[in-house]
Amino acid sequence: MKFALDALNFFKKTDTKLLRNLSDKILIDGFIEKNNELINLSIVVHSLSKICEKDYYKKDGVYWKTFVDKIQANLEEVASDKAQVIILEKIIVELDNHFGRYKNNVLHRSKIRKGSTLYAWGVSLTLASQMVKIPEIELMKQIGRTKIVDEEAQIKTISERLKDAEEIL
Amino acid sequence: MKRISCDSSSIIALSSNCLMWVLDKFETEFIIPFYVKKEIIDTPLKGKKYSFEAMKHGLLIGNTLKVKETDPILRDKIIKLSNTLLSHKGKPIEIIQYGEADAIALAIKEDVSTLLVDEKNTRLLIEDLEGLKKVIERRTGRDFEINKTSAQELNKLLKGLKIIRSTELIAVAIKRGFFDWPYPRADIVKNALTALKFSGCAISSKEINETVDILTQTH
Repeated sequence: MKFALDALNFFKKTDTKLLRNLSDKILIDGFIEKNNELINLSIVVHSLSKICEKDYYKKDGVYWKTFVDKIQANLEEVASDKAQVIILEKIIVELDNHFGRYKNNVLHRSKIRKGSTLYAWGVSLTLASQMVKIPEIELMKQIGRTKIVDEEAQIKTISERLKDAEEIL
Repeated sequence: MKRISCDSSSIIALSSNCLMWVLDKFETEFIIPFYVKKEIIDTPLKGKKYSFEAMKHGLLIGNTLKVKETDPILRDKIIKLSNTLLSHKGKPIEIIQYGEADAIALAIKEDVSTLLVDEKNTRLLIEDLEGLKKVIERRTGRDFEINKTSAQELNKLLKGLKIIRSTELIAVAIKRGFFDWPYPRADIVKNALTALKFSGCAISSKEINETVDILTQTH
């Protein structure tokens, strides 16, 4: 998986912007290729960009170094198809656990973000939810906070929709 | 009796705002297929976070919401046609799954003309295939081709299906006086529709304002 080497390179540079762009690029390929591993890698890369942004992850210097080493080693393994992305997911979840975050961790939030992106691209809510393994209700809450719908063309007027609703109700 | 086939997205949006009681006020039957029941009850019941929500949905089955058997062959046909509709460099992309396809198949099988759905992509699939293509192209920056055979067959299958969202349902409920609340009607409409938007209903802020204007004019 060639993208894993790009991710490794950008992670070493702690370039959050390049990591985020790469995450989107991987997601497009994963979506077109119907490749779950690519979708999972896109989520991991997004999480890495978020982790690099936050200073508190680096407060425990010893743990941070161990984390960086593990991520780098396993990105290389994933790049050479010797390991699956789930290993990287586990390392990221462990990092949050170390800082007392068990439920709403960075990986979970990245899954929601990527699910919302897939939905914005035209994937149905149920399918987007399955692709990122997040309940529909959580995706809907995230979608509600975005401008996704505001940016799209209006197909029917509100008067027409209200007329349809009044007829059936 | 008039009937509406419901997708999980609308039930989630209404339920998140404690608005499921509104459905009982209409003389319309709200039907759901097996997969929608699975999405709103069976799957969340297995987890911790949304199991209480799922139990509340469970209480509505047989009363507010009626579960009906869908036509699996028709559902699979809708999935197949939708997922061969758009392709990039000859590779078809997957855009729909069982939940939404089941709600559409149920509407067709039961000869129901209206679908209650809050998510935007099923709506685009039914109302504007070319628009769906444009959205995917604009947002991914890649070119996609429409498979004309799939598009024609889908258009034939989905012809005549009307879409309403939870926001239209609530707007009609307010218009009919179901919300006997001591607040100005314009505020009730705006706040209720905004709450549904924040819960994921695909309505734009502009459409919310238009709804407020229409409902205030007719009051």
